[in-house]
Amino acid sequence: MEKGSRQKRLHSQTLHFIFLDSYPLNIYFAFMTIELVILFTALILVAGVGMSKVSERFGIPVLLLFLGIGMLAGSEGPGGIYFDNAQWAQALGTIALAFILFAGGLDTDVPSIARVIKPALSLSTAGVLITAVVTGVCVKFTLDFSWLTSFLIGSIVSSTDAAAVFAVLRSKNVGLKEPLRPLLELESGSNDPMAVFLTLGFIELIRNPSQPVWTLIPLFFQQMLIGLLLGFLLGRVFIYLVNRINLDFEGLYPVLCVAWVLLVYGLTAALRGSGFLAVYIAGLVLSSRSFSHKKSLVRFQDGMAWLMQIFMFFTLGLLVFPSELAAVAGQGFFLSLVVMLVSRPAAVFLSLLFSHLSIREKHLISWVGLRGSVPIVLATFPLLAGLDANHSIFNLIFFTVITSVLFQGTTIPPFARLTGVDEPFVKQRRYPIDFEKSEELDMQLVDLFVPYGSAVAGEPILNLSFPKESLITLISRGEKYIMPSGATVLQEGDVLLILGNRESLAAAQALLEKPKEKPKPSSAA
Amino acid sequence: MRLLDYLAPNLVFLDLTGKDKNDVITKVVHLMKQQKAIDDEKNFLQEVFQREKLGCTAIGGNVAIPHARTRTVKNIVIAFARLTPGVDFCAMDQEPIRLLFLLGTPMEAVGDYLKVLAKLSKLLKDGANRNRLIQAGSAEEIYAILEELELQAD
Repeated sequence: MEKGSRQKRLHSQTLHFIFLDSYPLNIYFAFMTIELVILFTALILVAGVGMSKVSERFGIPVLLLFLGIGMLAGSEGPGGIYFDNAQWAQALGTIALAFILFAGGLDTDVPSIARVIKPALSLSTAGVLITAVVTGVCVKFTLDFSWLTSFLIGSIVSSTDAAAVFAVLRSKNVGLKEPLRPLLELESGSNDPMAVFLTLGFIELIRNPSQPVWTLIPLFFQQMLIGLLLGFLLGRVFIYLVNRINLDFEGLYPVLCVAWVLLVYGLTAALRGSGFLAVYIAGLVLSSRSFSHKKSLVRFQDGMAWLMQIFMFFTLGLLVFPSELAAVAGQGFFLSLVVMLVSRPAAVFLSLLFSHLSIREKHLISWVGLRGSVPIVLATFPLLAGLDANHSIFNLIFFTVITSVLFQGTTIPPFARLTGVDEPFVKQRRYPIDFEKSEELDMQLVDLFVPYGSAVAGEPILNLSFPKESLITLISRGEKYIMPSGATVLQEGDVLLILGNRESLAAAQALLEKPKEKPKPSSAA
Repeated sequence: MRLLDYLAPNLVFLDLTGKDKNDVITKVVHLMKQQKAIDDEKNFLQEVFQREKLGCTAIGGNVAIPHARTRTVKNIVIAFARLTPGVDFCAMDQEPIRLLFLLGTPMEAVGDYLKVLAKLSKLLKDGANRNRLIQAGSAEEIYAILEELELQAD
């Protein structure tokens, strides 16, 4: 009986995500007219978009620049906006994270993560726990916090953000060797639910000191299983719906998709599952299957994720008071050193003990444990729970994240080179002509050789009886592409890109393989 | 575009043989895996076989260029194997294959892929070039010959 009520209390914390008490918005816009507010919002977004160019140029993670805009706009910067409402910041952060995680899942190349699923899950569960515990122990013995608060701090900083990493790598034209890229991507997408869970769990333990730690274990399974199940099911339902619904207006599909992200998050959280896990899984499900309007939806959700990132970091930047950061600079610097040099390496090496990754690869994974937006959003939880009256935890986390991003984010390219796991970054160039196989059309694009000594060599295409249901779309010869016409003369060694169905391709291949008749020796006549 | 950017020296194999086409391709793919040029041996093999079903990649003059688009590589990868004795493929001229270039290319990227195929087939059109490769004494020599041939062609 008693156990039940404890669990209920823990859940009510989870529900904070969706049912916000009505709270006054403390932005002091009083002197502003609505026109100025609109103008101001536009400027923030334009600045955010512009910052991506700055980030690309100098290899500074874009997250830092967005935060910077928020800090400049704040009451201590030239913007002068006073904002200290952690509840609004947390609500916005939660919604933003749901969209960002959904887009992250949607953007994942599912077949490529299939091979890294074991090490990634190990990192995102055991790895997160080890990071939280080791950080907690270090905090307890060096800074002035209680055991549980130390573990709470450890939990808050326990998830990583790989998106920031890949942006930096792209701007420096560095790629990572297989299987590091999909591994890090999957890890950073799937470790947030665990970090959220641990944070809420320790907050609950601090509030109810009598509650034994083990009660978190069944709750863990409940949250993750419900999240997994609902994410998967609702993802499938969405595909079914989009394929069937046949809306009159193209523009309504993105609306449905936005609604679906909120639905997946809201329903899962209301049923006491992990909403973040559910949206990520739903994104993966959508990414792994083809359905109508997929391309436009993926692009739209990518835009949504960017919009959310800019707003979220801007708000978090507003929420912090830079002058207060100086007070925690020493502690923050220490904490980020602990995370970078002690707990992240410990988590990586312990949770990957049984993997086939090399030592060098593990070193790189350790260094790519960048802390991103999630710790800052999670740092608002103790604020709201009344456990962080003077913002010392929030400021500490904020400082730690900035140090980690600044330090690790900018040193990853040389570090990758040093550990020998880098490779030249391959720009995604398209196949010269591409053709997506679809169910209604049994056609594919195949490259066929003109063999040496083939009868078709030396003949213009017009004279050759290529099967009716085939089309030579492109000829690759030496280092040139040739647009074929009837008059184009084929040569030995040409590569023909032919569109056709199974039968016509087989017939085309047979035609190409017909040998040139050898001139009969004249003596035979 | 340089062919040798895609063909690493550790992917030149001499004096391989096998009982038939599939056997040889399987062996070369396995060697590529051993050299860490590819990740997913099984899938890549299947993809190569699938392409082979659509039409033989033996182009005559003892040369075959089996290839496939695959997820297991991030950039074009070429492996070279000299087969001794030669192995019967499905060549139009019915000559056994001695010079085998096996090629993997990423799914979405790289227009270079068709150019690589065409450049290889152009370099090997000349019987003298093929003979030099067949008679070379070592992997280093083969690499040097390919380098020279490519320079001449440019």
